[in-house]
Amino acid sequence: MEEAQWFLANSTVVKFRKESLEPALDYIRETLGLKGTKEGCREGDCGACAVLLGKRDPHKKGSVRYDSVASCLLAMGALQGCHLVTIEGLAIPAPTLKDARYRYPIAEESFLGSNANMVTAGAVEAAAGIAGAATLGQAKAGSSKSGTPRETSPSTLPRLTPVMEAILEENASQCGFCTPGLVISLTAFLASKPITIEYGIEAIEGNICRCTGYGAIRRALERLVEQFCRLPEPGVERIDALVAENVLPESAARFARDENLLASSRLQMFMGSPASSGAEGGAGNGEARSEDIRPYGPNLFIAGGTDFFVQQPDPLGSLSSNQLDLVVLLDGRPELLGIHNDTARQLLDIGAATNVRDFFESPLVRQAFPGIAQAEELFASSLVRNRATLGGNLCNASSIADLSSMFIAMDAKLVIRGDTERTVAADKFFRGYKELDLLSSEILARILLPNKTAGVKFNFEKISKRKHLDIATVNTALCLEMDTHDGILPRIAHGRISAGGVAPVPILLSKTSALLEGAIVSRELVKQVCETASGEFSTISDIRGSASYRARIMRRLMAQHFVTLFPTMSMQEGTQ
Amino acid sequence: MNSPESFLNVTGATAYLDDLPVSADCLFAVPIVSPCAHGRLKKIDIQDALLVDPELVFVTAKDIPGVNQIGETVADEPLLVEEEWTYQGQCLAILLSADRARARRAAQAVHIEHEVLPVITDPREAARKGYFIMPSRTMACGDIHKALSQCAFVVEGCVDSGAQEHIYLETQGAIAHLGGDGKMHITSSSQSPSQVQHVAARVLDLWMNEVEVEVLRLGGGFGGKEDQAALWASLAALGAYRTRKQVKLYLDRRSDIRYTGKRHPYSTDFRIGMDAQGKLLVFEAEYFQNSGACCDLSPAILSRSLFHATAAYHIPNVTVTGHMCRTNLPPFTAFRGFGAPQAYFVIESAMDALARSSGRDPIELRRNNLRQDGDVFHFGQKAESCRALSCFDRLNEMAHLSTVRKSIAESNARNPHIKHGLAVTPICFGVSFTKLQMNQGGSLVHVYHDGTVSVATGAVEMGQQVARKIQKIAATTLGIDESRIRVDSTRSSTVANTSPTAASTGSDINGMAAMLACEQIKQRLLQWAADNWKYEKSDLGINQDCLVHAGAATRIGWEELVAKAYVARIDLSAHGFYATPGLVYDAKKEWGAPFAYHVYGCAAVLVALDVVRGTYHFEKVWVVHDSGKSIDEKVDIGQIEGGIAQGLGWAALEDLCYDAQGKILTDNLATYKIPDIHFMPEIEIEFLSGVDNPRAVLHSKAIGEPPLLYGIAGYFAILDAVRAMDADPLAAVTGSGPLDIPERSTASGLYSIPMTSEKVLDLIETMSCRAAPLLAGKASRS
Repeated sequence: MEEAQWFLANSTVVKFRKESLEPALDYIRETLGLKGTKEGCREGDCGACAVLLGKRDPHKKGSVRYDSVASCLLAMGALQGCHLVTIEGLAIPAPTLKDARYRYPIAEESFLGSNANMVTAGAVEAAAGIAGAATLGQAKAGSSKSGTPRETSPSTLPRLTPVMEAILEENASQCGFCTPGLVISLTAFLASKPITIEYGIEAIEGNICRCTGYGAIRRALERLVEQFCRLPEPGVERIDALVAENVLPESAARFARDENLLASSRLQMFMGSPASSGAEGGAGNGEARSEDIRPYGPNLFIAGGTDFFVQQPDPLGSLSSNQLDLVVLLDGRPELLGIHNDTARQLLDIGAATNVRDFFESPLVRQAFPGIAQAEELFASSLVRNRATLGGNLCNASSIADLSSMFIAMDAKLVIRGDTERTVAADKFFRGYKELDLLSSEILARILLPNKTAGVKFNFEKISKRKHLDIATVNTALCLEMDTHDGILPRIAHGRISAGGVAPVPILLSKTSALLEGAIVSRELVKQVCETASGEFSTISDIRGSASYRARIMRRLMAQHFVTLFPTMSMQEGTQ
Repeated sequence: MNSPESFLNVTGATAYLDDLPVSADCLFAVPIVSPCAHGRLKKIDIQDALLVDPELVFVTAKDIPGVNQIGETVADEPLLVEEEWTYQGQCLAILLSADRARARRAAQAVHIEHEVLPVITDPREAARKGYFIMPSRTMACGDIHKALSQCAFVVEGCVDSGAQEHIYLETQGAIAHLGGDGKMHITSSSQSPSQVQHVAARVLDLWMNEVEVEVLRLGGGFGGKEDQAALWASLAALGAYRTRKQVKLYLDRRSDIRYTGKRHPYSTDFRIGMDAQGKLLVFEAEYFQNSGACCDLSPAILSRSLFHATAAYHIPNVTVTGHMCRTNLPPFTAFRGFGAPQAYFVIESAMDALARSSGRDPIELRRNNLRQDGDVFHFGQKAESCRALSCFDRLNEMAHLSTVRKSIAESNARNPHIKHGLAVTPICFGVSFTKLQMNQGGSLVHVYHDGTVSVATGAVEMGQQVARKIQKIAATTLGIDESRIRVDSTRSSTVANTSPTAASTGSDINGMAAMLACEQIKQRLLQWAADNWKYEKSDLGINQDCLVHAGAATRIGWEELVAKAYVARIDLSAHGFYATPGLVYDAKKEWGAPFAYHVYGCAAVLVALDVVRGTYHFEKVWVVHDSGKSIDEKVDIGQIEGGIAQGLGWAALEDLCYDAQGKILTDNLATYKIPDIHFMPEIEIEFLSGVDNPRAVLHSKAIGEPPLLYGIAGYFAILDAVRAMDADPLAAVTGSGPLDIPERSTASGLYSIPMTSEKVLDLIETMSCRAAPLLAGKASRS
């Protein structure tokens, strides 16, 4: 038997053998029977289904992070080597109110033991082909001997984690439906982010609460920041500190350290493969490892899935078994990851499966494109950025994909890999509505961004109904290479300006960009830019805005680029 | 201490409807709905659906054993359409399958043959054609014509407000089964279990005592589950009745948004006038309520609009008329505020227009016309313990509004690209159901012989923490620790004939009923203690878990007292009942005193407008709120903050779109945006101090709905910021002018909720040409 894929579900190792497209949300609620993870919208827009996703960097010893992700947008197949923590994995659900009220400490061991029993029992049924039938309530405890308590020494735990305490103390849970997701996101914040209010808000921006108006949630966050402002830097040390503080379960410390949980753990279960008839070792390309992915063939490539699951909220039901067999999950593949500085070619060479968060947080990217850090908050929410990939955002072929606009302005080159490898300029990649210069047998493998040492100015603008976690009505990026030899007035050497949401595809405003060549920055230039740009796009009306609005706001965003990049310049007549 | 349920919430242990265990043979129901807004059914073809699941069960109107009618106010809403449907998303049938995902796929394979009929979505068009839910209503006082001749300023205008989707995070649903006891058992996510019971009994031709309805904690309601939960519960019950199996119906988010009602859109014409001293004399309004396709709660909502037509202002001559216009949209329904927000937006728009056209300071104009003690509302009620002015003036002090306004003026003069705006909204909200019979509540309290207490009432816990308040009320009344008290779920066989948990009355009515029951038990215990230990009963009390004699604690603790009373065969259970006293209203004359009391308060909202991008950000909200003697300030703060979020969302952000054919265009959270944490400003809240309210339980005041009205200030803060511009600072470079702006945006659209970024931009670009007279007329500021 080949080495199976595995992941850790709370404190149980789960082995699986297929590129399963089952949304983790369904697996958690139906197969594991853990109902604390809620379905609020099934498209990543509410955060009620948030779970912790723990990942280790295999190349960097001691590098571990826990992120909050929307489990409705998370394919089970993407969990290889990860630690999935649900709300039940953080604290022991209080069986009765009396217990909850007095918070009797109880032995963690007994919980883990019984829980493991139940999960394993569920796994037996799942493996027998009745996936989804096993719930905690129906599972028969004791049907397997593997449910013995884990090897770590028994310890006692108070029932609530400090995150839960903070929410309680500040009365930040009203109807309670969003609360588990909020607990998860705040826990991820403590695990992987600098401990400031701003980072805390960013961490929970994808968690929608309809009851509280967020006041009490902010106060809970403030309490946590005060309590945990002295944590070590993110990594194993911080995980240890958080386990000691009962923020994270002990399984997190073991995950962070143990390279081979599969071998060391006696708590195991198998996850059946809903896509194939046989539960184990299913046929097809399920066991593809990194070296097996060539040739690509006519596959269904998914990189992240944050768009895919919005379009296919129930892929196991809506896709045929043939289609499911073609699924190849690209995220996490080492050859598609990483941000490398190719100094010889003056390029940033970025793997297309790099996630959006890593891209925006990269010091290399921030250095190459000053101002890009400000664009991060406009891209979806942290829950989505933790999963969305660069390639996925581009290949979804939306005219309003934020990264498409940015890459076009940056003059990115896209490396396409099939039987051979070829390179396409980002602005030539989009050929028509939802039509890409990409064969079904090809994937977008890498993205090459110019990396000039100095003189680059970058700005991204986006208008949406809500500023955060929303799809753009329009967006635009401007990338300027300044002429550094000039005197008093800033002069542009080269410039590129893009626009999304004003045509069937994201476009390079080529005539407008041409105006920028060698131009001195002035109000007159801005006026010409606005005028010329208006002639380069045509707009339509939809729920995000009327055609007139799109045209008018885009004109203003053209000016806003210059307001942002050259703040001392006035746009009003009669002023300097 | 927090309510014990919260411990379950934070650990993820709270079970909502979708989390409840179901039996192994449970069937999942998926509604088959109308494919367009108005049509006639010819045939439902399920052949392809049977290919998805050959075992599926298909239930139509023919399977209804009782009356195919769920309308409670007007019998105009079938459970399942038999022939003609009147909105898109109306239920035609249900499919039942053993697997939820399969049931949903099968439903997609159902074909509906039908004839398309003409559609009306605009309430004014419906009114022109005479399509009304019920006869229109008018409330009036004074002499409009005489008063108009005395006015120095009169302004007329048109005001629109849009629909608002509840987005309770837990969608609608129910689980039903016909028990071995011959009873239909329904677990419903409902604010109104008695209505579910009544409707399900009618549909199934059962008696009410044959239908048991239990409501656990809701994952949010906000009015959306007041009238509309009965539909889903009745469908589940019908499925269970036909199949004799457990049936679960739980809508996914898209279905919920598509099929269920929202806050009513209103379109209103107004006329307002004042004398030369700035005192309001006249207000007239004609409200066109878009009621949707069925009656639902539209009449009650309209009456609350009419009652709140003048908001917190005293106006001696008023005529307000409301029309309930029948359109082909899903029946609009209760949503926190219940018609009051729509009316508030009209009068606040009228005040804004009046201030701008007369050159008066809008904040001063509002203050000068606040209602005071002894003023008579336009429906005859006399204002008592009126605190409009004290809230207004305290807000002015607390928020340092004059300093704030000065620094706004300074920063606006300095910064061409960011303009700040400020608006103040006073509130005055009547508490009581406007339908008199609904102002009643019951409770059932048991003291168990170990000293713990179970309190059941008609109140549904949906996050508003009414259980927390009832727990405190019971503990205070009994003189024992809160941890001994458990507030139990709402169940029709425990407390009968309950009113919905709505109209902000949840804690007033049910809290009072709980108090009365606790009081009975306490008196029995004290009587027995007096007899047993030879005390004067009048000297006895219970305090801090202890029997108290003449003010001093005895050695007899609560547990001992209860245990001994039990042995002595004292009744430790009691039913409490409360009917709000003093309510009178003559619906024919539209005159009386329909409210037990009013809630007062005042809010200021500060906004920063980015005039280049045409976007805005609310920076700060200040609130002074009259909560009487608050039962729990943390709970009340949560209600105020949450209400403001929904109010700001409605006024500015939440943009629910239907097309002309009555199809909803924003049916998910990707397109319908509600406030997130970035959207919400800092909110500073102060409770008005030293105030009492003898008219409600423990001298508190209702809290649920009134704070939503504060959000309306956000709309006028944006207008204030737009008016702070001299001209569009980008006019020189963008070359934009009035010709580019669609017609609707210039004058009539000035008062049109929500204030989307698109509307903001229209206003900004209008500034460059001073096309809109109301915008251009900038008020002078002191």
